[in-house]
Amino acid sequence: MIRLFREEGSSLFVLAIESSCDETAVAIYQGELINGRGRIVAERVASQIATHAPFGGVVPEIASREHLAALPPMVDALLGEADLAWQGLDAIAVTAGPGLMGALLVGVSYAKAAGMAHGIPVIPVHHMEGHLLAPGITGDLPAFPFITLLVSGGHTMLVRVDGIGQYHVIGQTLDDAAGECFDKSARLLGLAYPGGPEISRLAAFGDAARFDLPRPMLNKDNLNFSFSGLKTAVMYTVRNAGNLTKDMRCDLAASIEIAVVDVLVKKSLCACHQENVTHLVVAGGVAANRHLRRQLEGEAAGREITVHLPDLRYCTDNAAMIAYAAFQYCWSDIHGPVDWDANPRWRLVDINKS
Amino acid sequence: MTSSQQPPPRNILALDTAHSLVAACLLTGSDVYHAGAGAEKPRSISLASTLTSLLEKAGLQWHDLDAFAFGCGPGSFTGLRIGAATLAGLNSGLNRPMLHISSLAITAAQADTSDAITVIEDARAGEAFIACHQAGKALRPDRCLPWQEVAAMPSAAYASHTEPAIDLPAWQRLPLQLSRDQALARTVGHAAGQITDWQALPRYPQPAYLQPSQAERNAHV
Repeated sequence: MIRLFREEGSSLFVLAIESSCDETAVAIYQGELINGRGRIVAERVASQIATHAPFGGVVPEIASREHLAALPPMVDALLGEADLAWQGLDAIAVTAGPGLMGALLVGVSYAKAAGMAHGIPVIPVHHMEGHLLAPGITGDLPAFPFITLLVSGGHTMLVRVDGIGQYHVIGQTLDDAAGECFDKSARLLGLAYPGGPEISRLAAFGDAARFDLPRPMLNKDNLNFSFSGLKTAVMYTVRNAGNLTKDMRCDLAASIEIAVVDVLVKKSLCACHQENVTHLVVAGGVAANRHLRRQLEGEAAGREITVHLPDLRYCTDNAAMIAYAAFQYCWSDIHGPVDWDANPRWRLVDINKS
Repeated sequence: MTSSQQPPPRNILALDTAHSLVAACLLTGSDVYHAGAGAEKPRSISLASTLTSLLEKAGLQWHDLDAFAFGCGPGSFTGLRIGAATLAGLNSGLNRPMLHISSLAITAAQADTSDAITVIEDARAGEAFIACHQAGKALRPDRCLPWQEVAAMPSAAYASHTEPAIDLPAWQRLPLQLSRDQALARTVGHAAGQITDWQALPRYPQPAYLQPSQAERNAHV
């Protein structure tokens, strides 16, 4: 049980561990019990992108090995940086899912053991929930309800957030995630992994009007996405082009980016309209895409929708968002499951039932 | 050397999760407590209760532990990581020496023989983990070999948790006489006696996988 003293000046220190995919991340958040706000005291992220790049994607076994080698010294260094001892921590938050099972187990096993040894409660956090609430880390969460567009290498979904722990998926991809579409298209263009940032880099020099790529599901009367058809269209375009010149590569990258962004923006605004909600949060790795950020802000302005974009560093996987989500649970007096384990397929709708 | 003048650790908590079972023991200098958990529950679930029950039996707190021992493999990759991450979590803040014990040495100890014995454990992917031990001593470093090379080895007495993937006609399979937690206690006791400088041991547990991932293997073909 977490000690709750709602007096002025009293705060909770939450250590968070995130190891669900290819970033080992740790953070300490100091949350004020008087107002539910706080600050990140210290944080570290060790990215494995370079390790996985030669394989063109994340290799689960390699990711798990790297997490285990990186995590324990990272936590020690973090506590040192924050000048905190274990006794000074009030809770340990850990990503319990969804993600790669072997990778999750490293963080979860470590967190459970550390919690046991130091008598500190351990709070399992849903990875997506961390992303959903990420704008609150450095600012204020928008008033409930709000819509979050969660868009990353593994996920593309629209979620209606009615409160802490109250999430309704109102649209999602039927096949590939948007980030996955970027990664796969980048590979077709002969670009390095991960593909999103590479496509963006080339797109800045390209003419987006040169290739007419499909905008899948845009005319469908629902909030779902589909990106595998777009990827196939890119494949045929590359095949028909024969030898891709540098200009063609840039033009195609720009065309891909604008096709994906168009769909994401239109569906997100449509979701706000349909749900009668005026706040839109964008989270996940693809939320770092500058074109997406610009277009969303531009189109939302005319519709009296406020767009909330987390700091760029909190768009990709990080532990600050896990710490913040756990603190919000503590502060709202919501208790998570007692008997739990790493759950690679933990669904957002099952968040209070795991 | 001041570090070698430190007294040897009194309370050592040891854990091996290289196989589907959890084996744990606590050596206190005067007593040995051991505990095991079957495969009914996932290792990640049964570990906590197994370890706390050991401490309760011995009447100790976590901070009373002076050292940890880790069955570092080779064995199940996931099993090794659950064990290692758990020990790393327990050792966070304590910063005690981490003795690394070959998981194959524990299997050799399970056979409970003073004669030379080969340990053969299935490593999947057409390979086996091989060790040679006599009276608690490794005769050579642990290896990972393709089964064809195992077949070409001179036949001997061997111990294993599973049926070998190939026929080993002239070999003699010895039964596992001791439970894994009993064998773990014996192996740790023996290894601890050999350590002269505990402070020189690593603080973080590191599995000995002895095998690259499938992706790395494919990349090198």
